[in-house]
Amino acid sequence: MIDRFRRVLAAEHAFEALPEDDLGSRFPVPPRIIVRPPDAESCAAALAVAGELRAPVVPWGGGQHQDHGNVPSPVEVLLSTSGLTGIVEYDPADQVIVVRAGTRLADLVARLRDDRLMLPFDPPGLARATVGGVVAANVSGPLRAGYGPPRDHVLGTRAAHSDGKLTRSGGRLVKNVTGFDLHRLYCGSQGSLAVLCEIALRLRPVPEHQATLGLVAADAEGLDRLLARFRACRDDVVSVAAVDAETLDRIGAPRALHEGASHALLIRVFGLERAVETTIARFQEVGHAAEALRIERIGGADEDGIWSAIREIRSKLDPRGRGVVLRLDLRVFGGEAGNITCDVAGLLDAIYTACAGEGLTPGLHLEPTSGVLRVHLPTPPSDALLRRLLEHAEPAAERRWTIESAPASWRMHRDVHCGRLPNGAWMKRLKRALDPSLILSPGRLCFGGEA
Amino acid sequence: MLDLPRLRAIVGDEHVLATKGGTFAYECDGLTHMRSRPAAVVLPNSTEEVAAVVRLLAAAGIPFVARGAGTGLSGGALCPENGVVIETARMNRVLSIDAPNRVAVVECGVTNARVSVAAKPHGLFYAPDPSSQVACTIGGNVAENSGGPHCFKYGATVRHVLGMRVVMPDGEIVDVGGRYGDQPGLDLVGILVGSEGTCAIATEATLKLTPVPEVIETLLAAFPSVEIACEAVRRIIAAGLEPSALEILDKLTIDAVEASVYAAGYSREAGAVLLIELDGAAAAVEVSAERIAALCRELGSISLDRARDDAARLKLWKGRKGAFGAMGRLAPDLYVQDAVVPRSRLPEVLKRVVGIGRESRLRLSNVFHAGDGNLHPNVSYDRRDAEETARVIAAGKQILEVCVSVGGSLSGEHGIGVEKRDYMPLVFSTDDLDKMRTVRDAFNGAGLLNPNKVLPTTRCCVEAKAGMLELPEERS
Repeated sequence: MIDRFRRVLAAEHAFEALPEDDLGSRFPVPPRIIVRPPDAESCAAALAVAGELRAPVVPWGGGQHQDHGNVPSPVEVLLSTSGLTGIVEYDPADQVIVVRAGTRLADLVARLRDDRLMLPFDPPGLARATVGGVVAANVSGPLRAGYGPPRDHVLGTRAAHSDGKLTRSGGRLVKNVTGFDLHRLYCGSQGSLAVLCEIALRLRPVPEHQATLGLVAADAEGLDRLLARFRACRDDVVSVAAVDAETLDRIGAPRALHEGASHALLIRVFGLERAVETTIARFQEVGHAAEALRIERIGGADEDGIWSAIREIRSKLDPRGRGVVLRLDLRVFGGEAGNITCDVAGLLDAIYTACAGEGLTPGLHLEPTSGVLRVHLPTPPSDALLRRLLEHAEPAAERRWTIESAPASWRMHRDVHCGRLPNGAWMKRLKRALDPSLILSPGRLCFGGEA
Repeated sequence: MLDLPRLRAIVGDEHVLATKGGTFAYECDGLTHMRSRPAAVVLPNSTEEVAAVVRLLAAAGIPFVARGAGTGLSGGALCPENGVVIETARMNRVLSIDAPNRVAVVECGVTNARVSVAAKPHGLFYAPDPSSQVACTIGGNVAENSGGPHCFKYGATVRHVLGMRVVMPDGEIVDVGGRYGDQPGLDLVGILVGSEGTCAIATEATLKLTPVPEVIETLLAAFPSVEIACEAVRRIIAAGLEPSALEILDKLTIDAVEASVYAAGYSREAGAVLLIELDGAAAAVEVSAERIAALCRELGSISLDRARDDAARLKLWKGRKGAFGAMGRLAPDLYVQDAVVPRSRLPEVLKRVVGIGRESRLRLSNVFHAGDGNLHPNVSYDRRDAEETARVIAAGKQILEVCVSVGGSLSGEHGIGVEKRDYMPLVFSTDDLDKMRTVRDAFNGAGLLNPNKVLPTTRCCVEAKAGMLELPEERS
């Protein structure tokens, strides 16, 4: 098989996987071949070979989000995008950049800083993640509350397909409705439709000023009060996170945010100095009105520190990646009987108690504006605990659980969508349309199937 | 065979139009130089009725096209002569407003402006604001991924649609997207919004609402030239001042506006006026407005007006809002082109666009969303004059070629429809278009839903390569 790839790639770009590549820990059946195309054309050529051979391929960027989605059925080829790096086109005045997919986010962030520009998304694994991997996984960090997920900033793509074709979608324009937006389908497709080779991104200016406030709640009801008052305030925030006190302690947050507390609501604001300070003053009022235990201004190194700790919360809590992150998408606001929150405190307490019953201490991280709650468990939960947690997701309660990330050995026997992937049949249809040979990360989208 | 009695049985007798008089108004949309009268028009009242109509038509092999208010400017609602228009006008209910979660659920025949009206008592509004917002429907906005002046700050329609109920081309009713949290799997909302009604028919939409800003301030700066106005835009954006809208009117537009009932008192010495709108918290708007005013003065603005109360703001906007009307009064028809270029290329592109207008002996003026690099060259002409119409269409094509040559594209907000379908090979390769077709066919395999839109036929691709590109034949 390797010879077939070497007909289209130089020997140094197609090789057998070695034990030291340590793929065994990431795949139940590790891929035997690694291809590392040096450009988009050879990436497409390699995919054509895989397509002809019907050899399943998993695209690989920085390996930071490979444990998202269902475990693909046995994969023979790992396609690394590490040969596809660098800037294709960049004009700071347009605030648009076109980069190759294997470019590391950290390198890009550093390059943009010179022009006082930034990426409007900050996913976990920032140090090693690649642009292509982040877009394919559509994973967000704390900037999501203000700027939206990565897919909102992808203006266009150049992608390689399993029929060997290389195609474009969108462009490098901030506003554009020319043609069907296939790039939107690729965002979040987890490498199941095509291999991203180039990506055009919209950039934003680095804010002139920023500030962070921690509103500390003494108990769960205090958190509910804070959330309700927070929602009533109309000022724009770029980040907002409610995190339990124990987790704040474990990720190294300043003591004032967690000591003697149950949770803290962290708020970050970007903008011009006077405007930011006015907004912060209003959120201080929110804290007073909600009878917060403490209202803490987080400045200096602590400010960047706390947000990068929240961004990297999973690796801080679980550096060896043995645990599980469960995600609950939920309705946070609009509760019964005039309450503005849907008893978030009660839900968090119930989750905490259920986990504690198995001796597990969960890390709880809620982004109230998007309605995403992440439950970080240090080890995989028992099936009994998982069932008990799933009981908190009823269609009537408008809640849905997803296993967001977990070791492959545990995930491979479970549907990460907990049997509730809506429109799976339509997704399969799109998968068949764009990857008719069904070789790209098969089984990742829909559990136990070819899609 | 079109079975009118069965259509009537689904939607009611009075909601099927099949006479010449009844279908007359449906022979074109906002793109008036292309016409085709449908065999019938049906006006369903619910998703289930849409689905029943679609099933009936699909079984009979009859093409069908969903239509909102027919304000589209690329011929997206143009229906084949043997086809049926499914108009959503009766599906005009706002189903719910969930204020704490800032979400509205509406039927797709609701007009864009009505969503904001319904949300207003809750201190919320619906951000996308196409110029036709009083008339155009959410269904049409979803199909075209509509923009508007304020999408510079808020983003186009796709960023405001959380979920949809759609009728697939075989009549299946499907809910895509959702309301809370992250949606798992492929982004079906993302691919359907902007698919120009060729993949599915949206019947309900779950929309994101935005808090009404505390303060809105409008600034109007007059500059000696378009180039300087563009430079002001560049500096405002580079400084991170984040206005919600940045609109430029050129000299010819100013002249037309000031000679019309839309006269807004714009300076006749100006080569261009720049409208800047800021919204948000009071302090943020105040600081940004001061900076922008200083920046405009530094660049030598001829005049600078600022307004905060609604009446004064509307006065500054009056010329912009009336620009197309003012141009339209110069001749029976108005052709509005829509193209996008990288923002930094605007000054040179505008020069070339003005040159094309002059060489084509056309009355061409420019109004554009400068922040987005979205041009709207517009031409007043008489469509009864075939020779002039041909010059208008030829100039439109030349403008698109100029835009594409600097890394731009065919449409920023009006869509491709039939108008620009055969220009697609200017931007995309045969392989690119094939993949788009594959995805469309995954939804619309029989090709009955809104046929012959967006993607050129294979023949056109070959002709484009051979340099023989022609516009689709006009039907009248």
